[in-house]
Amino acid sequence: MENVKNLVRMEGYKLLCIRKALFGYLALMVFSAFAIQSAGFFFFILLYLLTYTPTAYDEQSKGEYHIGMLPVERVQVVQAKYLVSLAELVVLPLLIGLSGGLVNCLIEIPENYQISFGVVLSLFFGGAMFVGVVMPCLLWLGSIRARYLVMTIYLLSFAGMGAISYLDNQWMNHIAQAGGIWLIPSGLAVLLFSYAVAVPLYRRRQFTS
Amino acid sequence: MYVIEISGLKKRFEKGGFCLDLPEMRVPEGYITGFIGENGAGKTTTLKLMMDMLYPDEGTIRILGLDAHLQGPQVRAQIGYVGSTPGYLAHATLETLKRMHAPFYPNWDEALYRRFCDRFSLDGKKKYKDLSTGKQKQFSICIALSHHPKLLLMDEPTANLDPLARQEILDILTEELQREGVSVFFSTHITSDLDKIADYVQFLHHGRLLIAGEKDRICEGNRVVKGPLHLLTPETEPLFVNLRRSEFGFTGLTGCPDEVFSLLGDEAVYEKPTVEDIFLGYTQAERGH
Repeated sequence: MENVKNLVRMEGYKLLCIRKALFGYLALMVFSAFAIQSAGFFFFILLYLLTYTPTAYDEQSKGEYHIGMLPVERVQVVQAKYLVSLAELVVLPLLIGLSGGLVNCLIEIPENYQISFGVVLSLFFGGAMFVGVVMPCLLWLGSIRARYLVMTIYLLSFAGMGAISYLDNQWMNHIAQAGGIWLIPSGLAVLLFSYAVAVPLYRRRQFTS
Repeated sequence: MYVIEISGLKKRFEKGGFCLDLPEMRVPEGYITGFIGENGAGKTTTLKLMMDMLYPDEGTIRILGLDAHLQGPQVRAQIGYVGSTPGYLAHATLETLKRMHAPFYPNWDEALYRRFCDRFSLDGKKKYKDLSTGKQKQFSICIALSHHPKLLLMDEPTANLDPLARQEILDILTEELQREGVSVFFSTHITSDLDKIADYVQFLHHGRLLIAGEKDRICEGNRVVKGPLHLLTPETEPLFVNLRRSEFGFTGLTGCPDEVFSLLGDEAVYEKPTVEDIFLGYTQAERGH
């Protein structure tokens, strides 16, 4: 457990190294929370950056050598990555929810959505789906070989969101109403399944570069 | 007692057609062992197999009595590794990198780390990418030695360094061995480094071990012979590992100097070979030169 904690701390340090790029999007996400489409847009951009960029940055520095010399098991590396992703999936939607709730209290904009707990749930579930698909790809292939695949998934997520918003601009609320609180365990189940796929893939990976 | 024991090791790379084939390789404990080979010989591959970054197709690697694959974390806890590409985050400061690395080692010695930093004049506030190549290597060595490893594995530690920086690193290796009894295994293609500090050498060529043993014994058991061309006869030529002819005479490496001397006598000149002479001689013989 100590090793996983240290690996999570290491992921935190990596995020700090790219904080300048992240902060801008984080600020945009929080301040745009009064318009849910915008908040969702920046949420997914931020999620993509938080998921893909540290891995890419790591790989650019040949980080697999650094991880490879540490006295840790591969499963612990995967556990740390998923724990960090889970933290991101909890914190970011909560920030949107809190920010949107605050904005709504201060400035009443009737035509916009009321940011609700349901929107937070939808973003958590959507983000879990994104991470659930992307993370095993990154762990198995590495960021360079997986870049086109990850970009495709990212663009499809965006296009999908855009298309759904066009058809139903309150779709997040409707999904939350349909799924309710079950979106949390569903999202967690997606992540757990993704983790179960990622562990053997990363265990088999060899660092030939 | 051996700190590294390789048995029946094979690793194939289908794409490049390269195959590492080490039926047996042993690295003695408590000494400095140099692992020399030309570019593409398989040095880095061997080190990566030891660090469990690559998996062998066949065979086993035991380090400090433990299986390098099945007991990888326990093995790596006792190893200090300095790779040709260490993999530190380029934009992170040295202090941040140390804070990332140190918690993984219960034996981490902060005072020792500070001493090494002072010796190498490393400023913790500087970013890794802003250091020169030599300073980056020195930082890697700081990190590798600060948790009191039993084995130091180094992949071309002196490559791309100026002579001063190289000598500093070689001095550190010798001092650590004397002070802490650390076993050192380092790969290089700079043979002069082996001449200076190695106790044992292992010659790797095209994925296979050509020669292995005590450096001084290998050098004592071979001679570089120089003489006029007329000394080369059907009787004397087979005694040479390799030969180079010119209009002025020949130069050859022999593994049986007494026999050669009995045939050529004082007409030839006999020199003790350097590690480079041995390496070139045997690899050229393998290539059929």
